[in-house]
Amino acid sequence: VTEHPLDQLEAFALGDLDPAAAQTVLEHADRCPVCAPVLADAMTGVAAIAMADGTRDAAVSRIAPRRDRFAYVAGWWAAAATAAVVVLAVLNFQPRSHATQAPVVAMVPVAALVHSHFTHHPLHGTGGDAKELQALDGSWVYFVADGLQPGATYDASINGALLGSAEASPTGTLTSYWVRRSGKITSAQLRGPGGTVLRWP
Amino acid sequence: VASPGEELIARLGAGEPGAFEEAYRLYAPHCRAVAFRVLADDAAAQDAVQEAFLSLWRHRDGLVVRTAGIGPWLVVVARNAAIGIARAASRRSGRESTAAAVETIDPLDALGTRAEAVDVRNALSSLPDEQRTVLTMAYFGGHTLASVAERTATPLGTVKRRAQLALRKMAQQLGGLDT
Repeated sequence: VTEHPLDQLEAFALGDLDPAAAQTVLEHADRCPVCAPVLADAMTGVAAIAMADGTRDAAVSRIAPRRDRFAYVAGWWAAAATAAVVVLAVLNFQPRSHATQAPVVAMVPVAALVHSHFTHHPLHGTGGDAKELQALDGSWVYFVADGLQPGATYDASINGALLGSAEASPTGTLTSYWVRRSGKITSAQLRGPGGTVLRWP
Repeated sequence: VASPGEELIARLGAGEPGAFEEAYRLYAPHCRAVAFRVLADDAAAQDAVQEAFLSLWRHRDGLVVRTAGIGPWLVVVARNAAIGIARAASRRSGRESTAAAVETIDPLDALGTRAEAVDVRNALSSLPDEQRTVLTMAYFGGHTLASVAERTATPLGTVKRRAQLALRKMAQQLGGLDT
């Protein structure tokens, strides 16, 4: 963006922009001392309304009977998000955004990631970019992808066997984590719509 | 002396994983509630929250999060992610969007009775009618600004300007509302 997107800052704050446009606006504003305070003002206004929205209480109360599950899932998501951050930092891999369909609810082994007890491989092919990470003992595998078909379902396979499916986010990113029995992983694949395949080796 | 929020932003900017976990602990429940408000689906709301936090990591040293603060930044980005998920789901299923389903809610009635809700109610009430209309339709009604312009027979540029003024006033009046 070479000009200030001043007429899009409020639209961003209100959720009016498509993901690609929103990303462009945010990246510009992050570097622009003219746009940043305007966008920050708009975000503060929207956030204040959002946090005071009375139906929030209704939403929370609807979930309350499932508190145990929430606590477990929230803990997992915290770990998963942290792990993803570690992974992204380690690999300097920066997808535009992120959404996950986690076929197996399990703890991402943060300690393993932090201490680099894993290896990673780029997947090559058509229809996007992806990396596959795996525990050294093969007990888990983690896919991070970008440039996929938004909203499309992708089948993940290890050693030729299907692990499960995951859906790309509206911006075409995907992360998925699977726990498996230990064992050497010799190949990984993400198969998408229209015959697109990303694979390692 | 840096505020706790500024300190957390600085730690995030330094790439400290512990800061990310702290931000998650502090703000994820708020983000999740806001996302659930849009999606009415727990799992999908969790997706939106995760997307927001990963986005925070990517934009942690940008000007916007440092100016807006982590809480407002995350709430808006999580809400945007939720809206994106709802729109994608709506496109896939052909159903009306979740946002459209709340179109009939009166925003002033929808606001609760907690102190901050009263503040927001007062701030909304203090807006000029045309600005409140834009904010009500765009935020509570789930309309795009283009749709607001069409429905109110107002030039899009005018609608955007009104949204800008309305949000600026809301920020000025509610800026102390820490999330």
